[in-house]
Amino acid sequence: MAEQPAIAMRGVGRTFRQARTSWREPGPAVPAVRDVDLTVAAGERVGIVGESGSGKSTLLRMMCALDHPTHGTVQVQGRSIVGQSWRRLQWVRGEIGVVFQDPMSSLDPRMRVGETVAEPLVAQRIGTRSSRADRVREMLAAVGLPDDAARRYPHQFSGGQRQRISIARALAPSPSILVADEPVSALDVSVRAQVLNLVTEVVRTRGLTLVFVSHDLSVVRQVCDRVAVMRHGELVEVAATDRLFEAPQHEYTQELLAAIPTLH
Amino acid sequence: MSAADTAVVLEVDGLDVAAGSTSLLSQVRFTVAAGERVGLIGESGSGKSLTALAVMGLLPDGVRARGTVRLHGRPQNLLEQSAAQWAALRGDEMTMVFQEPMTALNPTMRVSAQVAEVIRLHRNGVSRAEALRRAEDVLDQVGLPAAQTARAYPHQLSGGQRQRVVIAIALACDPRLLICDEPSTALDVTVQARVLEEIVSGVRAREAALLFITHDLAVVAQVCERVLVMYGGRIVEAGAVHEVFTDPRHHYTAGLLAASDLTSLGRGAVLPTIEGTVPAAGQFPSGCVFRTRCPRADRACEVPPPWTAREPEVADPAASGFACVHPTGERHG
Amino acid sequence: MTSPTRPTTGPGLDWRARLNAPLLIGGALVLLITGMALLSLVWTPHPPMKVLSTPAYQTPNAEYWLGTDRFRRDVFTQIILGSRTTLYVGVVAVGVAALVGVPLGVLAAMAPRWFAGLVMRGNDILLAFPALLLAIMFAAIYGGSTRVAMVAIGIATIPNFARITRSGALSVLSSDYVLAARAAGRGPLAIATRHVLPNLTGLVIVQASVSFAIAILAEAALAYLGLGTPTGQPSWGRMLFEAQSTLRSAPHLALIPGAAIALAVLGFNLLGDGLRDALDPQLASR
Repeated sequence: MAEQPAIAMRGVGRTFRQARTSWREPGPAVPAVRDVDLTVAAGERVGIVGESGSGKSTLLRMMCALDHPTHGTVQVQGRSIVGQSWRRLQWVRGEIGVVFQDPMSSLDPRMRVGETVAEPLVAQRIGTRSSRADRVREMLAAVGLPDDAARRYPHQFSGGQRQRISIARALAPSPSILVADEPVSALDVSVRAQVLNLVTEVVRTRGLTLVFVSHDLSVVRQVCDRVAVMRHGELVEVAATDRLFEAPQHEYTQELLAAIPTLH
Repeated sequence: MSAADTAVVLEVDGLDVAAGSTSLLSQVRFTVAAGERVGLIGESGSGKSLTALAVMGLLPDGVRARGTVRLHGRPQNLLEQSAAQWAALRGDEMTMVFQEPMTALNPTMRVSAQVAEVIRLHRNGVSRAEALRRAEDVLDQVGLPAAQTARAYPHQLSGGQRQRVVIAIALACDPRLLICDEPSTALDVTVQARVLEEIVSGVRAREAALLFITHDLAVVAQVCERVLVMYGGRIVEAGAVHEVFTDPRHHYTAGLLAASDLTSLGRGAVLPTIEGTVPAAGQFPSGCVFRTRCPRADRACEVPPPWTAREPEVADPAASGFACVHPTGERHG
Repeated sequence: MTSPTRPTTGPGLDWRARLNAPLLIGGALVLLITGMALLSLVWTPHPPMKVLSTPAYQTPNAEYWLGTDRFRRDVFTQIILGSRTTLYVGVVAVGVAALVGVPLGVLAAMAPRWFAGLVMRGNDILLAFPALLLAIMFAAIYGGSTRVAMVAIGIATIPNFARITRSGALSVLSSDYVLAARAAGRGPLAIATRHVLPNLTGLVIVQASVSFAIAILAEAALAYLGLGTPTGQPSWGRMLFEAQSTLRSAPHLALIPGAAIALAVLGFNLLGDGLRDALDPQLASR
């Protein structure tokens, strides 16, 4: 009955080499992620929280095979994704849909929305031209955008609408895992609620596994069952959401919680 | 707590800002008294940043302001003064802190030199050495001790430290009015708390007036005493923070509060949202600017709603009231 | 959070908001020259290159609008015919430079660091050769002719295109939409053709305009040195060359082609500047 975890990371580390400042020695090696063990079960909704420089975005990229770890293993649905050519990793693209942070730069300004949403289908050679067009229509409807949106360009949409388009694109190839990197951080408060509702609904109706990266603990609390807190490349605490908020164990988590400004 | 007791530092009345024939701000009216901390809340397209720019005389080309902006002690309407008069005022009596600390600082100058530059600009007869000494003083006050950070270049400091340098520059000449436009939005939450502290203690020590612009309601709750809510280039509600946040009258304010509150509902519950999206500039509806998205809108809202004071017979109705003919939580009717 | 006062532009939006003076003036000049070249294909005031039974060195008059030259040919006809060469020159030079330089730049941006380094150093070496020197070398090997001169100038201009394309490509490659394309499963070739190149068109167009102007000047210089267009084919630079000896006695023979060259160069430069201003905010794409 033990089901394959959706994502399993063991001993994962990523080091970047900075530019040289002296001609004799190579630049310093900066560890963005150190020794992370993280398992995401199928259907689980996990949040990864951290401030800038915590390594959360780097970790996310390694999860989706957009970056390779310097050491450690990463498995998606039980299959390793480390050290493979992009051609052999194509199957991962169909398993994981990714939504990025900046609605302004995550859509190609020169491509129509319909083409952008269809991009994963084209890249993975899924379907025919007409079946893809149908799928695009279906996805746009699922995220609450009208049919004619497909013919328009990104700059004709607001930030919240662009994030919806990103979500439509991520869902087009019917992935089983949805990974979102700060999807609402650049949005206004009222728009944020709309997009969060959409994410929650989409994850629920499709039974997706969700990995939600954010610097905002209150957003993560709303959406995720389990939270992992990162700092300086390490996971300092991982716990079920309610427990983390009621009884944070690590002092950094406590510091984070205390720093959140409250409305009343 | 009444603003009538302490001197009003900034008085804005009938402020209209337009780019060509597109109206961007309409009939903006508010005051800020010495020592008072007023928050200006709005989302993108609300006109909150434009209000700050208009008050500081920093509107971009092609954008015009009309109305009155008055600084206590100066009889002239600031909007009618010359560029030279503006330059003398900015940095000295009125200062501003922007969102991005990296682009606000000169990367080729040491941090202390940048603070000293402002001092020498506005204080005649201050020697270079004296200006530097005073600069280090101010930097010390915002939590950047001279020994470690004064001689650093901006790129050697963290985001939070840079923003504190910007605050130091803004406070160096003891301004009477400090305007902050999303000063902590680009910062991490732990750093944000400290930066907000510096701002509050900085204005308290100088009895300065603070106009704090942000889209984050929780930050306003933490920093400000009074709040102005903007939508579509107009102020739709105003009042004491705790009053407006616990008992909002305008539906937009209520919608914002509901959408901001991520803690009271259970996980995965549907968050309350405001119907629709913010229209582009110049495409707001006539009459009540919020009526296309308001759950309570009806025919009466096709006419611009009058400003209603929260309490009758209050000294300054603009300080506490709302622009709505069907306010929420109406006690009568 | 977009500013309400800045008009957004891009495919599918109002281009009228983006017009500016350099663009209009430059555009007009370029159109004038193109018009002249097209016209010359069907009509000239006097038979082309024909030696007329009329005095030489005439100053502008009613019959010969810009006068006649030392070979008793109508100057105005020569100018119109010369505009063909001017455009031909620009198109070949810019064509060669862009066709080689743009892919090179994209390659340098996407290839592994050691390879990109090699490409860029090669670029630098090419950049070190003055265009004229290269043209002289080519002329010495292949004989002087317009085509040889233009290919030489085109080759010398490759580094400009490569460099600007590389920096533009690096900027596009660091954007989130390229990351999203990778996440969707696009390979490097698809990313280069579907995302990088389309987002560089504005940059390349602006560079092309400026390089066009440089190519025209270079051709004129080469023709003046006797290395470009041979006698018989009309060319403004050639006209300058032929006018050398009679500078004092018949200055119009030098001034007129000189003015034509100056206006052409001005036109393309202004067009490049105008296009950069008009397209720029949209094309500093991330």
